Order: sequence, then C-alpha cells, then structure tokens
Amino acid sequence: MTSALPASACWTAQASGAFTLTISGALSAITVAQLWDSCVRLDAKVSAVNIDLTGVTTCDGAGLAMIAQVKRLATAAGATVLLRGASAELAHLIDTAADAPRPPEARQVGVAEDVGLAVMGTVDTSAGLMEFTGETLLCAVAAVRQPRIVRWRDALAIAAHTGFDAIPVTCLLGFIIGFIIAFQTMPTFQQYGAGDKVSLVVGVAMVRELGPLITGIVLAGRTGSAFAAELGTMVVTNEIDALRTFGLNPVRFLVLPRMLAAAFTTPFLSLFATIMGVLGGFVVVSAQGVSLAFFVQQLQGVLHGSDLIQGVFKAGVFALLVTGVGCAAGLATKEGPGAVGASATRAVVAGIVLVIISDGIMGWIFFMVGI
Amino acid sequence: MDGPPVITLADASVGYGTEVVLHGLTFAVNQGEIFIIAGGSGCGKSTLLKTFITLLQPLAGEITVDGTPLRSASDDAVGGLRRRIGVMYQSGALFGGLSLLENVRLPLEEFTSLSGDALDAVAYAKLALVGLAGDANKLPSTISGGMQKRVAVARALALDPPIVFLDEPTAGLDPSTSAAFDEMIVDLNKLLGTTFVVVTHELPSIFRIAHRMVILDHACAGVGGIGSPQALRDECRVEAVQAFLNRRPVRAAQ
Ligand SMILES: Nc1ncnc2c1ncn2[C@@H]1O[C@H](COP(=O)(O)OP(=O)(O)OP(=O)(O)O)[C@@H](O)[C@H]1O
Ligand SMILES: [Mg+2]
Repeated sequence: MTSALPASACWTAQASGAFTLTISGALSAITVAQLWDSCVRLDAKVSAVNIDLTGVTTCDGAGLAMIAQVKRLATAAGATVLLRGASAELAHLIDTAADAPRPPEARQVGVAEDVGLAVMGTVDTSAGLMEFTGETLLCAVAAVRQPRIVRWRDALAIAAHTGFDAIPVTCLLGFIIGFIIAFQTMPTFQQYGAGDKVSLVVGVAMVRELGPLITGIVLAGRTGSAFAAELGTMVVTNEIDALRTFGLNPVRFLVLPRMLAAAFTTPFLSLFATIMGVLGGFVVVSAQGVSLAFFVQQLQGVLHGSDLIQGVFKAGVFALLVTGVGCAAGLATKEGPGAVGASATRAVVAGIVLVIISDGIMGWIFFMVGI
Repeated sequence: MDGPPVITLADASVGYGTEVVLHGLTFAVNQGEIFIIAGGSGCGKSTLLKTFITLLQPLAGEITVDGTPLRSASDDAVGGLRRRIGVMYQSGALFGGLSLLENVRLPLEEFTSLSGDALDAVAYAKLALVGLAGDANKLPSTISGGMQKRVAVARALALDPPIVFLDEPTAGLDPSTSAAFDEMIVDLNKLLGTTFVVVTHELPSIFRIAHRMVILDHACAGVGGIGSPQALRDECRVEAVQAFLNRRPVRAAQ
C-alpha cells in the first residue's frame, strides 16, 4: 500500500472477531496526530487483535502511546492482543505503557456534600484563628513577664521596614485626602457663608477618623500581605516545621516581633497621616485667604487632646488586628504555588474588613463613654 | 556509540558571572550516547548542565549543542534549541498547580498537533514509563520526593527530544525503582536513539547504562578523566577518578 503520509495504519477483518492492525512507516507526534482517529478505534465484537509493526521504520513516544492505547482498549474489551514485528525494546515499552494502571475516576461531589465541606472549612478556619489568637495572647503574657524571650533585634528590623519605609506613602495619602475633603465640602459651606469653617470638618475627620483609617488600610495592603507572604513561604519550604522540630514556637519567634513592631510604629504613622491631612485641608482654605493662625485657633476650639489620643489608640488596635490576621493567614498557608498568593489576599481582605469594623465599634464605644 | 558529536566543548569555562567553576573543558558527547557527568559534590556538575541547557552562558571558549554555538547564538536559535532538548532539574521543578498528567501534557499541548484523547494517551504513556500512570490525577505536592523526580523525567521526555538532560534522576530512589529507571533509559536510548546526558553519583547505575562518562575534578577545576567507566577504572591514574569509581575518600596529594 502506498500513501502520501510517511506512515500509515489500516485495520483488516479476519475470521470472526479477529482483526489485524497493520502500522508502517515513521511514527512521530506529527504522523500520529493524523493516524490517531483511524487507528484507535475498535470493532464492537472484537475477540482478537494482531498488531503488525513489521513495516514500522521509526517509532517515538507518541507512536508508542498510540499502539499502547490500542492494546489497552482491546484488552479492556476482552480481546487477546498479539504484537508482531516489534523489537524487544519497543515491545517492552508498549507493554509498560499499556498495562499501567490508570487512576480511578474522580468521584462526583453532590451539592449537599459541597455545602457540608464549605461549612467544615469555615469551622476549621475559625478554630484555627481562635487557636492562633490564644497562642499569641499566651506568648504576649509570657513576654510581659519575661521580656528577654522577645526577639527584639528582629522586631527592630521589621519596625524599620513596616514603619519607616511606609512614611512617604502614608503622608501622601493623608495629604491628598485632607485636600479632597476640604475641596469638596468648600462649595456647600460657602453657600451658607461659612467657608472658613471647612477647617473644622477636615480637622475632626482627619484626627478622629481618617488619619488612623488611612494608616490601617495602608498597613493591610503593605504589611499584612507581606507578613502573610513571608510566613506562607516559610510554611511551603518547611521552615516552620524546622522551627517546630527545634522546639521553637513560631508565634514567639516570628509573630510576636512582627506584631510588636507594627504596634509600635503604626501610631506614629497615623499621627503623620493626620498632620499631613490637616495640612492638605489648610492648603485649600488658605486659597480662600484664611491665615495659619486663624486656622490653628479654630482647630483648637473643636479638638481636644483626647481626640488625638483616640486616633492614636485606634491606630494601635488596627496594627495588632492587621498584623495578627496577616501572620495567621501566613501560618495557615496550604500546599501548592497558589497558596502563598491566596494567603496574602486573605490577609489584605481580612485586614481591611477588620480595620473598618473595629473602627466602627471603637467609634461607638467612645461615643457611649462620652469621650 | 560513534555517532557524530551533538555537544562539543572547546576550551570552555563555565561558572557564575566572574566566578569560574570549571575551566579548560574540551570534550564531546556523541549522538545516541548515554553520557554520564560525575564528580564530587559541589564540583560543578549542575553548573555544566545549566550551561548546556542555555540557562547560563559559557564564560570562555565555545560550547556547541545540537549545532547551536551557545556564546554566539541569536535568541531565536536558543529558543529553537530549547525545544529540541528535554530537561529534568535537580529539584524536579514540577508545576505545582497542575496534576501530574497535566504537567506532562502541557508541552504536548503547546508544541504538537495531537488532539484531546491522543494528548492524554501520550501523557499517560510517559507516566507509565516512570511507573506513575496510576497517580496521574494527583498534585505534585501530594506525592513523595522520589515520585516527583520520576514525573519530572516523564515531562522531560514528553516531546521525545533528541537530547535529554537529567540532573541526578535516581538520587533518593530505592535500588529497585532506580534499576527499573536505568532499564527505561537504556530502552529509550536503543529505541529512539535519544542522547542522554545524565548527572549521577550512583556507581551501579553508571556501570549499567553509561557508554562514556566524564569525571570532573574539584582539585583542578576541570576534567579528571573521560571514557567508558570500565576503561577509566582500569586505566586512568587520576586520583579523583580512582577515588570516585572505587568509592573511597580522595587521598591528599604526596
Ligand atoms: N547561583 C550560584 N552563584 C554562584 N555560585 C554558585 C551558584 N550555584 C552554585 N554555585 C557554586 O558553583 C559550584 C558548583 O556548584 P554545582 O551546583 O554545579 O555543584 P554540583 O557538582 O552539581 O554539586 P551536587 O552534587 O552537590 O549537586 C559550587 O562551588 C557552588 O558554590
Ligand atoms: Mg548538582
């Protein structure tokens, strides 16, 4: 038989149920792609298959896979299979490929099971988070009793990164937000002839709310994600396991210095953001001819020291929440290359949500207490 | 094996940036050969292999792989060469997000015209060669280190490349799996004429599969000896070579 192809395959029927598959030529990924459909198909009533490879000149892995697939399907259909004209190596490799067990079919997961698994997953996560919180508190108590157990040197290095390096971005955001608030509220105030009162809005909003809030959100995006990725990578590379087998507690070793560093630096960042925000507001009102002295005097009228302390306190709480949830997400990292990314995402989302919710709760408490 | 040379080194140096790890390398690997690179830990086997597979540039001299001179080749030529070689990295380097089957299927999907069923069957066949077809749906993180190595070999073989580089394929495997692996290499080499360049420390494996080998010598940062394992053992007088093939510590020079 001649053919345009450098390789060919044809089935011929012999006696009842016996078939011969004659393959010849050079088998490669290219010829196999063309031959596959005509070659890998079986008669329903097949009882014996002869595979004649006498005419095969060369055969690569794709050819091997094709022949093995025919053998495999025929054997599964209960037919006997005979290879003819194959070298010992080829026959051995075909048998290896054809006789290898395949993995069991994936089990279908029903809706009920899906929901159940999701619920169990949530319960698991919550339990893990509680365990983490407990462990962190225990460590914190131990650290208060015995400050030596804290790795202060690490904490200092981390503080430089999470605090000092975050100053530019926090200040910039604070300034822009203060500027925008003043700019947007100005027309309304001017309608009532109270353009100079804009400074009050900016001052109160920045000091009590936005300064700490901006800082918290920057912290979640910058530091929470970084901590999650760092600890997550350590989980994936078994470094956390190595710590544990040395009898070292990862919470004391890794989490505590991070949380301390953030808790120490974030209030300062919040203070900077607040000051820059108020300055941003001043830039707008100064264009209306308000002098700095008058601006400051007005602010002093509505803001008290307790407002500033309130803001700083909030920033500290945000720092603990954001870095805590970031480290927890990192330590809970699963296997696989996407796992670290998933942990970082979880850290950022949970961090921002926690910042805003806790801001609301603290605002309410301060209001009830009457500060 | 006396095929034409597929890899030639002419007074080549390899290393990282300014740090030369090996220098004065002059030898050739012939087509259809199973060629072993051996030598003490840290002597530069992986570095040499990384240079062959175009991840590192030779620092001096010239290395030609399958007709492509590595120092003067264009990016296109290097890209073409990369498609003609199969590589198994020392660490496995499987794609962690893909199942074992998908790891092997990926290059087939990208570079062949095979269709769905055929792709699966070819990928299964490659996994069967390393004895892992039954685990095809697992993720790399859920199998053992030795199994990961075997999958990495199956992936290196996916496109039936004419030259295959393996960095310690049998390290960490039990003796019987390791022996089955050797048989597979020998079979594939006979059947497909594939050239294998294998880094390994395992003496039984070397004597079973090697046509020729080079033993790198840490002391002179170059070639200690080259030839068939038997010839090296019986005739080569270089201390590093004798120490390696007779499995004894290197004796200090007199
Ligand atoms: N990325 C790198 N940058 C600089 N030097 C390196 C780098 N990787 C390895 N080296 C150095 O190159 C030398 C050779 O390393 P190489 O990894 O090639 O050793 P090897 O022979 O493969 O050892 P092993 O048997 O342990 O795998 C070592 O001295 C090592 O310190
Ligand atoms: Mg190495």
